[in-house]
Amino acid sequence: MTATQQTIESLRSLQGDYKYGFITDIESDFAPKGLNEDTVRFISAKKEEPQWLLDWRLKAFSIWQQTQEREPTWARVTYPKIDYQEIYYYAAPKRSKQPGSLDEVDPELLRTYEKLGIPLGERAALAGIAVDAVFDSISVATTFQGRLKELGIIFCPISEAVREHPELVRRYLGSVVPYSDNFFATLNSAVFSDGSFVYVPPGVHCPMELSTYFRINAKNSGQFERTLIIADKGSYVSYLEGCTAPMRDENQLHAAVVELVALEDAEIRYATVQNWYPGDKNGKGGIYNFVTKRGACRGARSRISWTQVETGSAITWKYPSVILQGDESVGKFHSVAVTNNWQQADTGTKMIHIGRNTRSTIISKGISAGHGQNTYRGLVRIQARAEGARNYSQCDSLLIGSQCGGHTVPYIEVKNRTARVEHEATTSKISDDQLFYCRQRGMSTEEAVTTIVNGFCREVLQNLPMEFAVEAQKLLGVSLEGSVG
Amino acid sequence: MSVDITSIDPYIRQFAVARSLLPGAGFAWLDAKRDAAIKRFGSNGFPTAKVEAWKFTNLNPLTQTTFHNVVVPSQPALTKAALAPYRLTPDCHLVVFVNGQFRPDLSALDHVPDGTRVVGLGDADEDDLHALIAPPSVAADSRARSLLDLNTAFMNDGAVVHLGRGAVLDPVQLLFVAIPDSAPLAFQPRNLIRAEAGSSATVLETYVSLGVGAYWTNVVTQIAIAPNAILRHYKLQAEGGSAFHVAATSVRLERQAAYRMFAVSLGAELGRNEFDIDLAATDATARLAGVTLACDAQHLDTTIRIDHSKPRGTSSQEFRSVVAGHAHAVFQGRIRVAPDAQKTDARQSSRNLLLSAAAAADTKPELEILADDVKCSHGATVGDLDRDALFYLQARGVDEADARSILIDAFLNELIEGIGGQAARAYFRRACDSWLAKGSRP
Repeated sequence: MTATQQTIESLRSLQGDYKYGFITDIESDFAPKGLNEDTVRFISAKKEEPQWLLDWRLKAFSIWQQTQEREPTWARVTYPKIDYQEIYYYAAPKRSKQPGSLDEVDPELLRTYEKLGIPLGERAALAGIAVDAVFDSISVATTFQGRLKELGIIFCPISEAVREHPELVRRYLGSVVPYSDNFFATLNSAVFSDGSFVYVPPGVHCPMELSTYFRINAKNSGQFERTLIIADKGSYVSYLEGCTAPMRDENQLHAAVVELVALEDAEIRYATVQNWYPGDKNGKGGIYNFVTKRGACRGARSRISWTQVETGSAITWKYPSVILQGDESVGKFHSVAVTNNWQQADTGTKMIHIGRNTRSTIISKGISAGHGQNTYRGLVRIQARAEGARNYSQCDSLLIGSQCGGHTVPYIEVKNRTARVEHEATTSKISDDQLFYCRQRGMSTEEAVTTIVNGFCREVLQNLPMEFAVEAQKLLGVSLEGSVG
Repeated sequence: MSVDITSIDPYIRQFAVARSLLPGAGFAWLDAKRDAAIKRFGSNGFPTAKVEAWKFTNLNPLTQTTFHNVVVPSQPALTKAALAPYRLTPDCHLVVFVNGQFRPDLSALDHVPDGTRVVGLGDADEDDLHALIAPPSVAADSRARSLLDLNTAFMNDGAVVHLGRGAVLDPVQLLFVAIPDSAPLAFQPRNLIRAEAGSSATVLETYVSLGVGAYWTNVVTQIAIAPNAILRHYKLQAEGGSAFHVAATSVRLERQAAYRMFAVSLGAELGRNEFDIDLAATDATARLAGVTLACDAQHLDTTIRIDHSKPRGTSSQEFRSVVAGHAHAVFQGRIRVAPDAQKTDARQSSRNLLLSAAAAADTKPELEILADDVKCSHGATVGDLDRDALFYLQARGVDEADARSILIDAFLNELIEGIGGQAARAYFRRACDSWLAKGSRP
C-alpha cells in the first residue's frame, strides 16, 4: 500500500464534519420571495432609507435586469443556472425594536453566536475584539461601540450609518465598486441588506481588531451584505470577517460587496476566514459565494492588505483587489484556498498600479483534494504613468489525490519599462519523501499531512491576527479531513 | 455576438469564385470541408478581444483592409541569387514559395534522400490532404480558430514533407517570399510535416519580403511525429514592415517522439505565432523556445497551448522578448495536464525586456492541472535591464550604450546558445544581430 493510499484510509476514518451546520429556530421576517422593483422598495423601506439611496438601488436594479442574461461565465466553475426568483432577498430575525444593549438581544441569537464561538458578551472584552454580528439580512449586535466612539471611530451596521452619517456613506458608497461594476455587484447594490460600516478619523490608530461575523440561517435566503471601510489620513484599522451557514441540501447564494478606501498614509488590513457550508461529501448543497471585494489606495503611501483563508462554500468566486492610485501606495494579497470533495474555487486578485513607486505582493496557496477544483486567476496591470512600480507574485498549488485540479491563470500587463514584475508558480503533490521523513520520526500520516499543509500555507497564515491564525490552522485540518489521497 | 459583416463579406465572395480552382477541388469530402470552414468563418468572423485567446491582440488593423486571395498568381521573375542571403546554408534542401505559390524553378530538391518526399501541395496525394485537413487535437474555442478556418477554405499551396520510417532529412528550408503588389494580397499556405517512426529531420521555415507594401500571410502547419521520431523545427518570421503574419502550427506527438522548436519573430506590423502541441502518447517530449524582437509600432504575439494527454510527458517553453519603440509583445502560454497524465514535467518561462517608455508587454502563463503526480511550474518577468548589472559594467569603464547592448545580447544569447544545430544557431544569431544593429536603441 502506498503512502498516499494510507493517507486516504486514515483520513477517511477521521471523517470530519462541518461543525457549524446547525439551524437556529427563530422567527423571521421575510420579504416576499423573488426579485422585482417592489422587493428593492421593500428592503429600502424596511431600512427607512433616504430617497437618494432608494434611487441608487433602483438604478442598480434596472442595470441588473438588462444584463440578467449575462451572468459571468469566464470563471472555471460550473453550477446549474440560478433562479433568482426562488430566493428570499430579505430575512431578518423578528424583534420589536433595535436592541440598546446586549441584554436586549434575543437569547436564542446569543446562544447561536456562543455556539459559533463568537464573543459577543464578556468574552469579547477578554479577546479585545469589537464584533458586528450579521444574521441573515440584518446586523443583530455590535459590541464596543461606546469605546470606539471616544476615539471618533464609527463602527456600526451600514443601515445605521445611512441614518447617522449619510454624508460619509453617500460620498464613499459605490466609489470603489460602482453599482454597474459586475453582475453580482449590481445585484448586491440593488438588494444589499446590511453589513458593516467603519470610519477611522485622521491620525487614529484603531486600538482593537474590528470584526464582522456573518451567518446565513433562513432557508432559501440569499445574503447580500455590503461593507464599507474608510481609513482617513494617517489612520490604521485591522478588520476581520468570518462566515458560517447551516447545512442545507439547497444551494444558497451569497453575493457581498466590500469597499475599502485608504487615504493618505492610512492602512487597512482586511482578513477573512470564509467557512460557509461547503456542501456534503457528494457535492449536495453549500453556499455559492460570489463576492466583489476591492480597495482603493487613494492617498500617497496608503496601504491595503487582503488576507483570506477560503475553506468553505460550494463555489467561491472572488477577487479581492487593490487600486494603487496614490504614489508609493502598497497592496498585498495573501490567500489560502482549500477545495475538498466537490468544492470549486476561482479566486485571485487584481493589482492595478496607477501611481508612482507603487508596490504589490501576491502570495496565493491553493490546495485541492477530493474532486475539488482550485483556480488562481489574477491580474497585475502596470499603467503607463506608474514609474518604478514593483510586483511580486507567487502562486503555488498543492494537489492531494488524482481526481482534483489546480489551475493558475495570471494576467500580466505592463505599460511602463521602469516596472519590475515577477511571477512564479508551481504545482505539485505532497512528495512521498516529505511524508516518509515525517512518518519516520514517529508522526502519523494524518499528522504529517497536516504539518506539511500548514508549512505550505505558512506565509499566508503568518499574516493573520493571532486569534484567526489559530482558527484558520484548525480549519485547514478539518477541511482536508476525508480528502481522497 | 454580432459579427462585422463588412470585414468578412469580401472573403466569402472571393471563396465563391475560387472554390473550383483550388487544389483538391473535385474531392467531394474536401469540398465539403472547405464549405464548412468558410461557413464557420462567416458566422464567427475575425476573432475579437472578447475571445479569450485573442484578448491581447486586436485584429482591427487587419480587418480594415480587404486582402485578395490570388488563386492563380502571376510568377514574378526572381533569381536564385536574390534568395541566397535568406538561405540557411548554400547547399541545404530548399522549397521556395513566392507569393504563396510553389516555385520549383527556385527550389533545390534534387538531392532529397531516399525515403523522404518533399513536394508542393499540388503534388500531394489524397492521404496527404486528409492529414492536412485534420483538426488540431488541442481543444480551443472555435471562435479562436476562425483564421484557421479561413486557411482551410482558401489553402492553395504549401509544402508537404514526408519522412519514411527511419529516414533522415537534415535540413530542409521552406522559404516563403512575398513580393507585395499594389493591391494587398493574402497568402494562405498550408504545410504538412509527417515524420514516420524513428525518422529525424530539421525543418526551417523562413518568411521574408522583397519590396514594400501590405500583404497578409495566414499560414497553417500540421505536424505529426510518430513513435521515436524527432523533429527540429525552426522558424524565422522576418516579414515586411507593413505585413500581417498569422501562423497556426499544430503538432501531435506519439510515444517517445520529440519535438524541438525555436522561433525568432521580428517582422510584420502585426504578427501572431500560435502553437498547439498535443503530447498524445506516453514519454513524448516537446521543447519550445523563442525570441520576439519588436520595435516601432509592431505588435507581436506568441500563443502556445500544450496538452499533456498521457503520462510521463516532458515539455518546456522558454520565451523572451525585447520591446523597443512603442511596440507591444504578447506571450500566452497554457499547459494543460489531463487527469491521467501522471509524472508530467512541464515548465514555462516568459521574460520580457522593455527598452523604451512606450513599450508594452502582456503575458499570461497559464497552468491547468488535473493530475496530482506532476511537476509544473511557470515564471514570468517584465521590466527594464537590471540596474545593478548596468552599474557593474559601467563601473568597469563600459559606457552605458555598450553596457546595455552587452546585456541585451546576453539575454538573447542564453536562448540562442540552446539551439542544437550549428548552422541554425549562426542563422538566428545573424538575424538577431542585424535587428540589434539597426536601431533597437530606445
